[in-house]
Amino acid sequence: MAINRRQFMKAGSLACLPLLAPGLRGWSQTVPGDEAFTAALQEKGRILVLVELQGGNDGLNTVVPYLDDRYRELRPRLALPGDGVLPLGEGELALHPALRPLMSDWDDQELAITLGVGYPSPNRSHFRSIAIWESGSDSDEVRERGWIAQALSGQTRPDDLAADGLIVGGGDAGPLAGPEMANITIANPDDLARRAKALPPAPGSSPHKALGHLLEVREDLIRAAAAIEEKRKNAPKLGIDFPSTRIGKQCQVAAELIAAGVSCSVLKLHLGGFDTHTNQLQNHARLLGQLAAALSTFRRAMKKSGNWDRVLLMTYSEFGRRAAENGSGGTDHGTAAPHFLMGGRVKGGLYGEQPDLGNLSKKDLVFTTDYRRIYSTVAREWWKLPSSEISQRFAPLGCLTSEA
Amino acid sequence: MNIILLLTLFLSCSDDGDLPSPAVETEISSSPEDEIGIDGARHLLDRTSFGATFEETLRFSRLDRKTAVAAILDGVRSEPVSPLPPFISLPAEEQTQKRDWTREERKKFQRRQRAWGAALRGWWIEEMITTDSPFTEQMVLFWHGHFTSELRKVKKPTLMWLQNQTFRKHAVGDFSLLLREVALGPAMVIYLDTQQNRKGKPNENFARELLELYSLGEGHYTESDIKETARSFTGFRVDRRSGKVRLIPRQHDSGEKTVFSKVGNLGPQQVLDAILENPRCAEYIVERFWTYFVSPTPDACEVRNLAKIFRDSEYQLRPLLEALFGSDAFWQTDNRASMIKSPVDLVIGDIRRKGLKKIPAEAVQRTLTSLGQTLLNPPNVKGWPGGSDWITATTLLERERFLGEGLRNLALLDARASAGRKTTPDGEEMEPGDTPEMNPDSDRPRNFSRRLSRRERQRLTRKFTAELQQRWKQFGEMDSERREASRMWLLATEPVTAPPKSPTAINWLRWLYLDPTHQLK
Repeated sequence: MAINRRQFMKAGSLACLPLLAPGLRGWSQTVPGDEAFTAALQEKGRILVLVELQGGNDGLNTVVPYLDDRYRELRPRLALPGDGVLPLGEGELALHPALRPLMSDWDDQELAITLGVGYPSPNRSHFRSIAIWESGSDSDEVRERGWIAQALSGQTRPDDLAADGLIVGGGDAGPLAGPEMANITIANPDDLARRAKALPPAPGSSPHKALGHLLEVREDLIRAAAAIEEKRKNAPKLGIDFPSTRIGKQCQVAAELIAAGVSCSVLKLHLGGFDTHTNQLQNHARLLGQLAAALSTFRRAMKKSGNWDRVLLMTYSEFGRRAAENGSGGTDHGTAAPHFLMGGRVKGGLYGEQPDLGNLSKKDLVFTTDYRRIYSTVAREWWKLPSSEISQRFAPLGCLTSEA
Repeated sequence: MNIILLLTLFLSCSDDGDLPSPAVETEISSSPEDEIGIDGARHLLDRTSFGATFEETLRFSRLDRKTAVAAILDGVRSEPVSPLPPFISLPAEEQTQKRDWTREERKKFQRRQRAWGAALRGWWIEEMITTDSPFTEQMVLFWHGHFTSELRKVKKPTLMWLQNQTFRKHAVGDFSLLLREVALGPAMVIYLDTQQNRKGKPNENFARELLELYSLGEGHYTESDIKETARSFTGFRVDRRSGKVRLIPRQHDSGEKTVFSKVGNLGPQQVLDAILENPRCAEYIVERFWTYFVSPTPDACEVRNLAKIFRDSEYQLRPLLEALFGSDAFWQTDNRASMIKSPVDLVIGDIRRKGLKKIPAEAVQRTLTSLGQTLLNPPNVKGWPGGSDWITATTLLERERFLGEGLRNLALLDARASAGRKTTPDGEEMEPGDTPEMNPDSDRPRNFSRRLSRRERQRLTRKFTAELQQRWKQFGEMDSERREASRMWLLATEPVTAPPKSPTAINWLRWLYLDPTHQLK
């Protein structure tokens, strides 16, 4: 039985763990991969930024097969004109025009696009499919914990960790959900500090189980708020204007936390509205435009503050949309879709196969890349956890530079 | 006794109206050593009734265990006190989507249907706040979390309401009838795909959850039992128009099946009989009650004893609950403060403790959702996991927010509604069966309490605070007996934060509400 992480965090003593590097506390026996993970998190301060595109992003109008006649046949009203899209190299794919701000990222070869991401026996329910994505499960399997909680289970955390996950855009912990994870929802860091400070002092634990849990969570929160406040106090201003959209503001909070040196494993952002059953052309362009503007500003801020190399950003969404448009200028729930990975150590380019529009299953795209290959890339190559279940079961995409 | 009377006067200031409680008003003389006391009364009421006003708690404190438990059980209602939302009385025809509708007509209908769902949720919240038998609502909520269905899948709010009526009807009645009625109720038939379960093309969704979650628990059946159970539940459909469940004989598998060594052309009734004959069923249900009402860890020996009572009474719930609430385990010190209040416990509880009755349900629902419990939409088929899962960093801060400014805002809304002011906008176009606050097209602000103008908020706050201080002033400083009595009313264990330096009544009570132990029951 693994020792509870919290007991270690509380004890703050290293005496019982002589094998660990100084300045680290552990919560389990050392397992293979531990030291590399420790290095990945502690020395390099690696951060994963999750961007959830809620509602099911339409893949075919994000990365557009603009030279494919079948694309125009399937989407007489929704197909994007070939002269507006942004070709990705020499191939047959192009980005939606609203994603222009990401083109400099692409040109610098720091944007990896994974094609046809999905899973076998796709589920088209928002609730069920996002639960599958969040937990890394098979279609017919229910897992209680998020895939990140599973991957980080049993690993040593850095000493000054503010929290495992900082959830910036609201919503639940999703991929971070797990009883051992310290996740903090944060809309406005100053507000968090204010609210945490308003909590009257209380002990951090109790022999009573129920009270003990409550007090532990409370202490996690207070510690995170204090760590964030401490780091932010002396942090220089970023000097970059972010878009005033919701996702723009989230990116600003994320960038400020990272630039201030707040230590955490994951930041989760959220952009909703992708359930485009109607009037998709306009709505989708607006959403992608907001996303691209926010992400490119985020990248600029990370580069300027010297943090881009320790950031890996990935998008995800519960599903893509139906290949053919529906009768009301939109698309219905579908299956596979492309996703983005960005960061200073990302090898830009296309990964995986674009689904074949001539080979639909129940009118839907057939996935070509299991979504858990992205997770394996994160677990195995970013966090250096080759022995985690996800690293073992799925091959990484190979889209990170070798020194990553 | 004088102290108690004084306290009644002193603390009832926040209770604007008395709840009738017929069972308790008839004075029952029990010898003082048998009295459950304030601590015992709070324990019983927090666990069974979302907590109660100080006055009600004092009344219960003078009863002995048996009388107090009987008072709770005797008060159970089969009919709700709150008027049903108007859409319930619309003809079934009007609550059904038509096949020949245009996309726009469908969209409009779906908007109305979502609004009906919100109205139904609001109705239940109002019932929880105003009923004279909160225990009934605690039981309905228990069954809702046990025999789960989700409105997001069932879609038709009327069917969820019918299920809620079933829970009400059998809340403390006959479990075997409840099981039968829920299993083939339209909400369940839709929720767990019994509709897709046909002869030759079985769908095991319902069969699996019936055995795993609703009656026996994992490890007490085989995969073959699931397959055979699924076969016996083939051929049922919910009629689109009437909403009634019908058997389509040609889709029903009438071949021989074997479930728990019972062999024959088993239909749903015979399979449910086989389940009820399995002694594990009573134990499983007792365990569910235990973790809901007593403590997070069932005591195997006690469970066996209680299961015997349950079986001997042929699955009557009342004798079981009487035994459960009367057991030493229920009252044992170790089991007090052993549970974390659910959002409903906390929010409805504090609204009831403060005697607020006119809070717009929508504001309460938003709070419950922010704390992680949306009625009619449990997170999945297992229901709310409860216990320590209620507390995350997010919900913790939301709980703190509720206990601080949230409760205060609700009190202001209540004060405003009590003064006869409307809390919903006028002049919005309504369909028959709709209510103004459920119009999704209206552009009212998301935060209901912000609908108070700044001036109105200031005025109400001034009035509210002045009244409060006036009422409390006459009692001056809290003495130690008053402090301890109010502590026992609001906290299940000793507080863990430091008491206020100046322990005026208002400071003292605020401190108790905000102490982490107030979130335990």
